[in-house]
Formats: sequence, C-alpha cells, structure tokens
Amino acid sequence: MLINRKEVEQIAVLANLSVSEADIDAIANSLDSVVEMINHINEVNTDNIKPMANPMDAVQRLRADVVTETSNKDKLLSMANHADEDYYLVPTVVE
Amino acid sequence: MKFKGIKQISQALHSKDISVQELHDIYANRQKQSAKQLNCLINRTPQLAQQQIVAAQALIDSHQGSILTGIPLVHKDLFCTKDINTTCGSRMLENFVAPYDATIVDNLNAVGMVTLAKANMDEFAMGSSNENSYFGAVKNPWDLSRVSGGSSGGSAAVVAAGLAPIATGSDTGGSIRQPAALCGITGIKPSYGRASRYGMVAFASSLDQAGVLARSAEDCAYVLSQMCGYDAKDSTSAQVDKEDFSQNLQQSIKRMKVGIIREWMDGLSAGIKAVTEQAIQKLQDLGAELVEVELPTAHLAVSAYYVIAPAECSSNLSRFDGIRYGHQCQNPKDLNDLYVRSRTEGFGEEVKRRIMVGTWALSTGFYDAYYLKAQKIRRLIAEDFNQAFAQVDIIAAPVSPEVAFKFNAKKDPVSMYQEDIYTVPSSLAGLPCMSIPIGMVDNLPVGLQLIGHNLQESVLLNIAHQYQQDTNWHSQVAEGYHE
Amino acid sequence: MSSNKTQWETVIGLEIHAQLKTASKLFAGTNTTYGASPNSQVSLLEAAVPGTLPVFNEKVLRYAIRFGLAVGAKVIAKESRFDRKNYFYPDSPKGYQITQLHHPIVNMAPSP
Repeated sequence: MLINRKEVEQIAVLANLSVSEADIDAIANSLDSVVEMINHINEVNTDNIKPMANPMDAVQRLRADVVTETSNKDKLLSMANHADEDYYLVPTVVE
Repeated sequence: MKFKGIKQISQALHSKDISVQELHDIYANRQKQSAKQLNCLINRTPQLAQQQIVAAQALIDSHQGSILTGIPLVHKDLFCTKDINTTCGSRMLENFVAPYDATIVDNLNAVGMVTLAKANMDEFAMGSSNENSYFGAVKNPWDLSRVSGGSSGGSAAVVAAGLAPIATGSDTGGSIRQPAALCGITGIKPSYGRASRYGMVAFASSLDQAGVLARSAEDCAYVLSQMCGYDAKDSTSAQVDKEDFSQNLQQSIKRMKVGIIREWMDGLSAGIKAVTEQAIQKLQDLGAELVEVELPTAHLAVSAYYVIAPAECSSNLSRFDGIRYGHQCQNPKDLNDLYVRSRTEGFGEEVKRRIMVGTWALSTGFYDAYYLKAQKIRRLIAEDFNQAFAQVDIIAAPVSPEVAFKFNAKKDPVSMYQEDIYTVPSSLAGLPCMSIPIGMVDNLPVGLQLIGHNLQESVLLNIAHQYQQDTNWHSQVAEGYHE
Repeated sequence: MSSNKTQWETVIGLEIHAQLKTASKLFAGTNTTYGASPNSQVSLLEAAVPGTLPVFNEKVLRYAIRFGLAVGAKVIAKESRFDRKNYFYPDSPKGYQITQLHHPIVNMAPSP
C-alpha cells in the first residue's frame, strides 16, 4: 500500500482535519486507490518539459499603487462567529 | 414562454406582450411546483428578484433594455451574491453571506437580468453526480432515480425542467458539460481567463471557469457575451476585447474541419457510440469535413487532473477555519481544536478526501514528483491540442462515458473520477468547450462535446447553433415538465 | 558531534523584514498607514473572504528590482512567479503565504 494508517494520520495533521479511529482504514484505502490512479503520470517521460501553471501562460497584470478599499472592519467582523467592536474573538492562545 | 428562446422572450417583453413581473411569475411558480422534488435549488431570492424586476421593467419601458433585460436566471451557489447566502453546497458556508457580488453576477445584473435563486451543486464544486452536496443530491428531471451530473447539477436540472431559461455554472474538469449532457441541455465553458474568477469561490484556481447552461447554443451565446470580459480584479483574466459570441451563429459550417479522436469513439458503449456517430454524420451533412486527430497524452489527463485539482483545492480551502466566517464547532477547548473540529464538521467526505490527496501531493518530498510532474503532463496535453488544431477548427468528442446513472452507483472515488475522462483534457489545456444534446439512449439524454482552440468560443457556438437549426434534440423536454 | 572543529563551517543566514513605502498593500488596495486602529486597514482579500483574488502592486515590483540592483544581484529575473507556502497559523487567514521560492524576482546573491 502506498498510503497506510500512519500516513493518513500525518496528512490529517497537516490538513487540520481529524480522522476517527473507526474511519481510518477506509480513508487509507480510498486515498491509496486515488494515489494508485494518479501514479500513471509516471508513465511518460517529461524531461525538459516546462511545467504549465496557467493554461494561458499569460503575463500577470499589475495594480497601480493606489488605495481603492476603505475600512471593511464592520463588514468583516459582522461575518465572524465571535467578534467584539475591533477584533475577532478566539479561544485564549497565551495564558 | 417557459421553453422559448431568449430572443422570443425578449421580443415579448419589449413589445409588452408580457411584463417582467409576469414572466418572473411563470418561472417562480414552476420553481414552487418542482424545485423541491428535484432538489435543484438551495435558496430562492425573492427580495432581490423583486428589486431587479422593477429595474428591468424601467429599462424596457425607457427603451434602454438589451436582449437580456428582464430574463430570469439562477446562479450556481458558488458565485458570491451581495447580502444573499452563498453556500457552495457546504455545511461550512451554510450561513455565509458575501459582502460583494462576483464580477460575472455584476455583469449580468448590469443589463437587468432577474435572479430567481441559487442552484444546488456538489460541495465546493467537487463531484460528477451532485451527490456531494450538503443539501442533498439533485434529481435528474428525465428520471428521478438518477443523478443530474455534477458539479453544476442544480443548474442543469433547473434549465432542463424549465424552472429558468438560464443558469450560470462553473467548470473545473467538466462541471458544466457533464451535467448539461446528462440533463439534455446545452452548456458552455469558455476559455480559461475569459470570464472573471473574482467572486467565484475557488476550487482549483488554474482550472476554474464560469460558464452558462441554457436550452440552446444561441441562448448560451447571448449570456456568455455579457458574462465575459477583462476584469482588473482577476489578474489571470484574459486581456482581450469583449466579443459578441452570437455574431457568427448564422454562418454556414461548410468546409469547417471537425476533428475526431478515433480512440475515444472506440471506447464508447454501443448505444452512446451510435448516437455520437449519428451526430457527427449530421455535421458532415451540414458540410463539415471530418479529420482524424490524435491526442497521445490525453489518456493521462485524469491522473494529472487529480493531482493538480486536489493540490490547488487543499491550498484554497485552508482559509476555512471557522474564525472569520463559516461553520464553527461548539465549545472549542483551544484554538487548534477550533480549527480542526470546525473543518472536520464543516466539510463533507469528498472534499476532505481531495484536501488530503492534495495535502499529500504538496507535502515535502512529493512536490516535484506529483504537482510539478502533473503540470508537465498538462503542457504535453496542451501541446497535443495545439497539434490537433493545426489541422482542424474544432474537435467533436463524447462528453461522458455513460448516460445518467443511479444514485449511489459509484461508491468508490476512482470509478467516479473516470466519469471525467473526456472532459478533463480540454480543461487542463484551458480550451473553450461545450456540450449539446444529440439523442437518447435508454430514454436518457446523450451529449456531444465540442472543443475549440483558445478563444474560439464563437466557432463552437456557430457549429452548435447550425446543428440545432437542423435537429430537435435541444428542444426535448422530460415527461412531466411540459406544462 | 565531531571533536574536529575544522569540519564545520559557520554559515549565517539573515531574514530581514522591511516595510516598503507604498500607499497600498502588496496585493490589495488597502491603506498602509502606521498606527491606524486595529482591523481598520484589512481588505476582503486579506481577511481571506471566499472568491477574492490578489492583484500585485506595481510599485512593489519596482522596489524589488531596485533593491536587487542596489545589492548587486547577478540576475533580475525576466520571468518570475509567486508560490504559496501552506501552513496554518493565526496570523495567516488564507492558510498560506504568497511568497517566492522557485522563481524570485531577485534570484541571486552578489558573487563573492
């Protein structure tokens, strides 16, 4: 197997997801089958091929250095689950 | 009115045979009757519609309206709509209200189109059956025991059932074309960069494109023309002149060169193959010349796609942590617990699977072997298409290896991913492509995929329109939805 | 560790953070005023609101090139790309930094 239980646990930590003990084998199996499928990309030689990040291979356009957005504070904080007048509220980080 | 084309509806509006309100009511009533059964909508937007009806009628009354003024539409629920929920089909965004409109929403609002609702979709646009929505699967109007396709399955079902003449959609690896095919309607994904991605919740940034689902190529052309255009807020937006894609619709397709991929045709089941060959024969009858082309690397497209799309998705979905918006778990014991539980509860199974595949492919030691390697394959596939388009004007190909399948028929991810074999190659190359209905197999619709060279949307729409002038498949309606 | 000190060479790397004198942010059109009240200069992009996209500030590019020339960098890239550094941290709302790893604008230290 390309992906085992231990790897699933490591990936979950990196992805900030939790995986229950009951599901871990099923997840390992399904990820393993996906990895087996994507491994076909190794069937072709790609030496000297330039990776294609954007299908247009376009040049990015730039923005003039001007202020276009005024304060969004009220708008943004109203979207949050917990906020006071000025800040987002989260569980205590530093005691 | 309900299955008429935009041109006719617009004429009726401008000649005052019908008011914008009356037109709206026809569709709103149909939505009340059928939307629940099909589960194709997530939220209806009656207040917004009411404002837009008044504005559209004023435009028409003062003779300032365009062909799209007053035409109702439904937006796929990943386009941000100001002060209205945008859920992305996810528990994570069940109560998310964006403070702004997506550029394509803005563009369509600007000419007075009337927003009826937000359409159901696979969660974060990840899926080929619409079974991955937190709000439940969308049913196919042709057979309620079957899927609508995905991820724009709600949009496709809406148009197929006549609940709106137009729906917006997005296509990352086939998410407009496949549901359009499975629901028997017309859908187009323009070239990457044609439509702004600003305000479209990102799945895989280098692939995502907005597009249109409608009852005909002609209707797609009107809406797509208004939707597209350079946008300074999206730095990958194509800096090309705005184009009227309806301009070439009437042109003859005589001597147009249509590419056929023999290998793809031979891989089809007998029923779909016969219908597809018939459609291609029809193009030949209309004067097109058939040329066989090859895409030697395309068989690796699904593998490359399922590296690139999950990698970009895992990065794009990192922002959903429960703090600034979106689902937050109850009683977190610390910050990390808040992050992890909010994400674990907020995302569905398929989204989590893709986040994990992407996280793995981008993790230390794997980046070159997977993400970079897949991007190299992507270039090879794009070059295959360039070679093909040196010989032909468009390519005609299947959309999906099957007709609409039963719910829960594809439980393992890899068999679901294989649904995308004919749609992801053109997605990786960023090419414009569409699906048009071409016949029935087992009483279920079959689509034909037309792929154009970069920025050649008008060629696609021309050939599709000419086909639809000579055939009736696009005007078929599933039983029970005529009235 | 080996007792033979000559096997080891001291290499010191410096990570220097500098605020650029621009009117607006790197990727969004919000103010950069020092000492402004909390959360009053946050763009929708910087709060990672879904659907928002970064657009690079031209003046920053000019400063980067000037910096490269000033320190005698051998190469100012003709083609440069941004990369994402993915990690979760409370000060990173998007869950990634937009940075340059593979193809930076200034991509070589001065030759010794």
